[in-house]
Amino acid sequence: MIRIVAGLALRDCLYDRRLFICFAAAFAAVLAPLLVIYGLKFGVVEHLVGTLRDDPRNREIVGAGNHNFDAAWFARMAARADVAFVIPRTRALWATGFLEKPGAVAGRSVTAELIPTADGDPLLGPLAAQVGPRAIVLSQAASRRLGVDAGETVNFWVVRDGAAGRERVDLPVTVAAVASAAAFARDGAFVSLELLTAVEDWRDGRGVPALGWAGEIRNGARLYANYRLFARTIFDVSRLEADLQREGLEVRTRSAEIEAIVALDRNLSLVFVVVAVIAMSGYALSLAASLWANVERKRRELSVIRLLGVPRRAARVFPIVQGVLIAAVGLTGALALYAAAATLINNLYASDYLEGAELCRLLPAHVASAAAGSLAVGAIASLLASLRVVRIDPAEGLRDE
Amino acid sequence: MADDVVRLEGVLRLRRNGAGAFAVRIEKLDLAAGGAYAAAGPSGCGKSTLLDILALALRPDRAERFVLEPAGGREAIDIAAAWADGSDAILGRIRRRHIGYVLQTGGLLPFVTVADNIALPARLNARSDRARLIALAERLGIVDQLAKYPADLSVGQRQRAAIARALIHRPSIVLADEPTAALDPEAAEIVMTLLVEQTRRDGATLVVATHDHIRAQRHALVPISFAPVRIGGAPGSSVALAPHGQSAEAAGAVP
Repeated sequence: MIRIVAGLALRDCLYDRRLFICFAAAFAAVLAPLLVIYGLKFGVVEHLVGTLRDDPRNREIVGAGNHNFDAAWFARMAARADVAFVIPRTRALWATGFLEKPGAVAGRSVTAELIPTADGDPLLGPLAAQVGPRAIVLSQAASRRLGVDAGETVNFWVVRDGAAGRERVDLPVTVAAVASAAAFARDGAFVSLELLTAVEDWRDGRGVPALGWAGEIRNGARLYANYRLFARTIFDVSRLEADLQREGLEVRTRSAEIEAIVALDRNLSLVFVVVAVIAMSGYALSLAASLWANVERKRRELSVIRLLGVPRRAARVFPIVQGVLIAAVGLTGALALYAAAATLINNLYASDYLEGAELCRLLPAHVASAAAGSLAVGAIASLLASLRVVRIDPAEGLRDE
Repeated sequence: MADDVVRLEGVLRLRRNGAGAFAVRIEKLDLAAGGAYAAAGPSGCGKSTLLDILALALRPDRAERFVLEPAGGREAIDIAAAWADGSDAILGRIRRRHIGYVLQTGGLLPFVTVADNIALPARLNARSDRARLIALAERLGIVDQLAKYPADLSVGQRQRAAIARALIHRPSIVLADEPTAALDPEAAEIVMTLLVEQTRRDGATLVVATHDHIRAQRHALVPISFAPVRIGGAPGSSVALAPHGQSAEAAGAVP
């Protein structure tokens, strides 16, 4: 029964197609600009967020000063869901070493900052796995200064001024890889935590039996002055920052830039929602009026349908089917207009402005919600007309008024 | 002898309009299966009210007995009880199964073809009989019009299509409200002839509301008479079946 009424409603649209195409065109005219505006907002914000996200340094939380962090503190940080990577770091002043290519002219040595690394280091990516007790990853600057490439061996040494005067220990290490220029700009070497700890211990006057470096042996829990810490995503940075500040730690992050983009996204979304709600409710009202008018115009026919034995609950489907059909056709038109506009915008601007990224784009999920929203607007707009149909008396169909 | 198809007894309906109240009382009205009746009289005599009540489109204020006995010995349907129950779905089901309607200007749906208009009551009863549709269209001389839309037909052709639509689902009773009022005399005669012939051929009971006694008489329709009375202080009409052979005038229906 409902199928028959729905069929009649569709046939009515087909018969009066010029009128219904106008309704659908009006729907497309309202929806298409909304899709383009949202596509632009999404494209621009996505590009900005993407730029931030692609650079792991935006996720880094840099600790200032020297503190005493114990193993429990690092375990606690590593366990947090919003932490992607954390590793202890020794005092910055002691975290340097000399590197030299074997056989090179004396004086061609390089002072490198030592950066502890391990599996999962966002700055190194897959290269981090190649770092070991005797294997390091050089920064690009250091690699160039030393004139060594991946696979070569370099001599590493550190010095200390002890009671016995200046002392030096040497360690030949393999250059497992050279990091990308973006990972570290200065002369640096990514080393295992074990090696970094050995350097600090030895320069503090202690011995490192594993490497045969002499000195006094002290027992007790190892504390670290600092850390390297990366948040899981750029949106986790400000929370981590706040938590660390609450512990009385001074940190530096790029959270301000991230916050700026989050705020931009929020404000643009708000503007969009306001515009969309005003536009769609205006259209929904006009569609509701049109469907109501159509029911009034088709009152005789609808009462005949009722007279022929169609019960109220089936008859009220008539305007709903028409409302949803108008929305569906309008949506199709709007998507076509959007596709044309987006192609045009992307061809005109994207190559210069966004390094090839699409300025105007929508995800399938956005299209799906636009579709669901449109059909809902069509259905809601038809409710009033539907209530009108329910009140049509079959007796009206019996005679001409 | 034909069985009765519709029995009304003690049915009362009060109608309010701009001029005040108007009541129609049906003391006893038994319509025989296969019979052809004319509710003839000027406007305001109560024939529209009678037709609306028979069409299950107007709720009687009181009904001691209102029964429809479908053809084929099926169980009688208590319409008074259905109204008392007030279920739109039940009344709708009785209308679509047992009643056919021919309206003044056809009442065809303009947005579907003539064939689809005729087929609609059958489809609403979940039956589709293409062969019967063609046969009815042939009997009514509108086979060539089936693929057209109602707007492309003459008024006379539309009335023939309406007759086909009223008969397609083999109803027990066919109600026709002024089916020839919009037609020129020649077309009116043809349509009335077809209406009477085809309903009789299908064995359905026919009730025609018309203001044209002469035509009703010529087609041997049994008159239903309306006598002016006062009902509860209000002006009204009393409905009765005129004895066979008597005209509406003879029954004293027209003031």
